[in-house]
Amino acid sequence: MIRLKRVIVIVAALVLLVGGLSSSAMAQAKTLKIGALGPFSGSGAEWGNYLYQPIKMWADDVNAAGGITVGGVTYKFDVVTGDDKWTPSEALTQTRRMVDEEKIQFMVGPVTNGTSMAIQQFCEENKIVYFSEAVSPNLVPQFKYTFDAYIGERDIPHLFLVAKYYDPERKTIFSLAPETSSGHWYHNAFTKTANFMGYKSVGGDFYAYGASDFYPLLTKAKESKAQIIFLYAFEGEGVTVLQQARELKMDVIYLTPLPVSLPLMAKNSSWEALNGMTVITYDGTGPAWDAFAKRYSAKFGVPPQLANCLYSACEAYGQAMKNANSADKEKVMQALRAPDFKVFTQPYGKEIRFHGQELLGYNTQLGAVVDITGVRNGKYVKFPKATEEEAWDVTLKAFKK
Amino acid sequence: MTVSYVQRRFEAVFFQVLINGLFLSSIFSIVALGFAIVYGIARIMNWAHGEFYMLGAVGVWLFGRQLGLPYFAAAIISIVVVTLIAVGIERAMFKPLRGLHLPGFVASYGLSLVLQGLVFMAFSGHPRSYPKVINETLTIGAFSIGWQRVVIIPLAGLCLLSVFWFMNRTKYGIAIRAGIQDSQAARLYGLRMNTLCSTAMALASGMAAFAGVMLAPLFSIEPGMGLFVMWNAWIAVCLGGRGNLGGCLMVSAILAFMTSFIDTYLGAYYSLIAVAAFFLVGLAIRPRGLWKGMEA
Repeated sequence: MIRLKRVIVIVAALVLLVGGLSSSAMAQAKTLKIGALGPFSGSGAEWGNYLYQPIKMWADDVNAAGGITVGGVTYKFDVVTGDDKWTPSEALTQTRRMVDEEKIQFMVGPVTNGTSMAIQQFCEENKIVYFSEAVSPNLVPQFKYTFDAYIGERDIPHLFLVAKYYDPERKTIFSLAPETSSGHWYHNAFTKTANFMGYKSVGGDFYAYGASDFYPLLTKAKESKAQIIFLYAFEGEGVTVLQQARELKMDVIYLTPLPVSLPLMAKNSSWEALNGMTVITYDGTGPAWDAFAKRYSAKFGVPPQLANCLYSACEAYGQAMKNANSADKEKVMQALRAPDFKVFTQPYGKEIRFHGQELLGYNTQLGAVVDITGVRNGKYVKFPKATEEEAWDVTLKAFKK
Repeated sequence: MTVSYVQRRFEAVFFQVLINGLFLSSIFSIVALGFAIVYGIARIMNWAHGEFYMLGAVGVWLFGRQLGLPYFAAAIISIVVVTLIAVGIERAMFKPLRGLHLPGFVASYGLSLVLQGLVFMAFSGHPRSYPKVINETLTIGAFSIGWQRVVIIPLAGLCLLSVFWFMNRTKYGIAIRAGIQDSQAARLYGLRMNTLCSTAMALASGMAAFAGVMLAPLFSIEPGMGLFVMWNAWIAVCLGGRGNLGGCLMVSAILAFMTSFIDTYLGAYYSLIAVAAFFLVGLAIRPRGLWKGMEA
């Protein structure tokens, strides 16, 4: 009798132990981690926030909706961050840490060419899909796990087309960009597009990232009689350039390819900073974006910046998991690379697909152009935009190798 | 295109560049002089000095835009608060490190990161700006400059003159100069180094905050903005000669005009290279500083 009791107790303990382990394993398997790699300290720290927030929002949205169920298992998501300090060596170190210790499923970021290139090989070997925010297309061809959350080539022609409709008399352009690989890429792309569309480039210059005084460069632009300034700058430098150009009484319109979030600029800097200027920028408007931006602002207290690209990248990964009916990294990657891959994205309010095939020979650039908006005389306005087909047609002709 | 037209265009740009150099020189001089004073008396290369400039700008934004105070009230409060914080830091952190060059510098570098981080945490990294106090632009022919910039030049001059008056005509100022020349002898004469160092720090941080307050309506206000002035202040002190306040001002002016001219005529990145080259060559030729014996 006592022996029987002992046997029952031991069996019960074993059952509990196995059950507990199984539950634990299932719980681990149910949470997938997303790595957010970017600068979270130093002068680039604002980029880190722009990167982290949309990813976190997507993870929270998915978790609130019950997660993603594939292969009979429900997955929820958690976000971990890696501070690459804007340096390639640190980007690789942080990627290793997130892969080896945090066991991330996929990654979003980083934001520069140098850091993106530094992690390509490692991500390839470890089957980590990552969506780079860098603009250089040199990243993607050889590595199957590298994707681009952003398609730079389409922004610029779109802006020029709007400028042409808005004021066809303006013909001379000056380019201002930071002294970074992205800045140089944009400068070259802008010059190419300007030449193709019949504009005359009268000069350009690069500033050190984080610069405060643009008087010398703007003096150059004014002296060159530029009627349009192509400005690649985020809100801090963007507002400073606009303010200082107004002091110099420059009669120019500004084309800005970054989603500089004019409402954010106005909120932080006041509309006075933008008063009297005409700024044409790639920004988000429309009912879908408005709804998304409202949710984003309510959650984080700031308007969205890079959210359209990065939130959509996460949505793409989630969709690929569903298409593959699996969380297996290789299968998900293959699903992402399927020729007919499409994903409905909240920020854009429509289905989007990967691009780049006609232009670059490979389809790994995700993104879509949202509305072209701007500021004129201190008011936020929506400019009549070119159609996507028209803009893409210019892109293909201007950039085709 | 006639020769006279080309000449007029050249003169317009040249004048613009000259005035911009004068403007930059005003700002660099105020910040560099404060940095030099603290280094001279406490022998600490305070890398966090640029953060006092940043805090001045953040302060005027906080008190002005967020709390709604008029600009001048916000500016004064900001300068006072930054000064008090700096003196507190001097007493708590720098006092035991006086005379210890490397530990002092390392500690100040850490302090710089902490101050930037605190501002980032409190207000995020999003750049802010402050509306201009004077919106009009001075235009003479092809030349234009915002009045806000123009006004800064005489204000900075007034600040420098006040500092020079303080250093030459007041008991504390003369004592600080004595401490800069020879701190041991100054102690032997009964001068209280703690008081002098705190006074020097108050003066230096007040000047840096003053520069930040003046520039807040012109530049973006963000946690990393201090580097813009700190790099030049560092070079000015190294090349101006330890304790040589006049030399520090001369180097500040050279850097400012060099930056303005090279930025405009060659390109922004060339000026960074030129400044760095000037620094390295200067140190190689005269490690103790380009000037000697030029006392303030």
